[in-house]
Amino acid sequence: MQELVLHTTGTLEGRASEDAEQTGVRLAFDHYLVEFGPLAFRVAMGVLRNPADAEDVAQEALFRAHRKFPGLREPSRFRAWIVRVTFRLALDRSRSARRRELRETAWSRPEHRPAPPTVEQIALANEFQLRLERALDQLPDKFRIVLLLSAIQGYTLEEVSGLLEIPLGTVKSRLFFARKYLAEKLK
Amino acid sequence: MNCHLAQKKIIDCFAAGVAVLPAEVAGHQETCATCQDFLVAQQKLFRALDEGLESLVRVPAPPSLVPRVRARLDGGPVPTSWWRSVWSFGALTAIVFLALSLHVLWHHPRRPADLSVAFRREAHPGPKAEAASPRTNALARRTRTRAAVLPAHQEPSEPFVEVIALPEERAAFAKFVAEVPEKRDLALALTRPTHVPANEPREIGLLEIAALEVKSLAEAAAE
Repeated sequence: MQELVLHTTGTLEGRASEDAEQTGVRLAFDHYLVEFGPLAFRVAMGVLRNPADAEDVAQEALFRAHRKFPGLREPSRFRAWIVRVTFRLALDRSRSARRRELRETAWSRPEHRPAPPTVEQIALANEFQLRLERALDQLPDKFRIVLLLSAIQGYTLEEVSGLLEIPLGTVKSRLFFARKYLAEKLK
Repeated sequence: MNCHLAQKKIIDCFAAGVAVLPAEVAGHQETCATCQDFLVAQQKLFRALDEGLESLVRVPAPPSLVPRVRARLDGGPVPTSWWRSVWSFGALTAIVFLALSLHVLWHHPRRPADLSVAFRREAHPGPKAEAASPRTNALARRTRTRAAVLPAHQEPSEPFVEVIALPEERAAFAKFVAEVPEKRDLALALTRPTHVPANEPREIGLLEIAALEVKSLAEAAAE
């Protein structure tokens, strides 16, 4: 007759505590997800200017944040991390989209390339906004992120300094340079 | 203060987000119409710049963002990045192609089971070819190709038989040898030239007639 062996309850208790810990981690992350998810989206939107792409990038950044969450429990660290990673992911996506567009244009025949916008088309479109976006694309990355974060409502220069983990003076000088650069391009 | 310096300072103030102009700049623009117009234009420009930036980033997050992240964390259907799908597909295609190639090469139907046929091309006929018979030389000159056929039991290191074949006859000869299933040695012997040592004199054998009857034509016709 086969004898059945019952495992001690110690193993079950260990498993239960692991589950409880994971649940706690998940709950804490969920709280950060609700609080900082919109921030990630706005940072991505500032670079990509396309809601669908921005959502994809924000989702990816938040997913990666979950994997690194044990080291990002502190809210200020989590916020700074999510801003940096989202910005980098958005830049990568923007550059790869630009490279793909250039490749497709190079392959296609020149006569099939879209014609440059006419004066009338520019006037009809939101001219200033288009020029602003083009000027933003030409701005170096470290200046662009400072400009975008300062434009997001509620972030003072001190908070931007904390998000990017750079000195306040550096934030001010980069913001100054970025605004002056754009004004020169847009005048 | 001149206009150029005043306008430069105006730009610096707006770029730095300073609301109040320095005293010397304020004093100058009060008396200079050009700088007053410049100040108004810069105010409009920087206001438009700030509004444009805000319109880019102050977009409400879509309501689907948080549920999508939750679903992904819960192991639900995950919308993967497009490049991952492409790489996965490419890797799978390469593996399938490799497997098919190995299968075809392993079960290649034309590989002979017990005979190997080697073809050698000769760019220039060596002295060996010149010492051969005139017929051989003519063939060699025409084809420059030799077919070497190894019998099944012969090791490649042993001197093997060489048969000179015209290109148009090469395939037929290989087929002939391959299709003689049990008498390959006989087939090779048929094609093997007689070995005649170069230094030994040729012997002419005598014709021996056992019996000879001589008759006249008239007598043979009568019979």
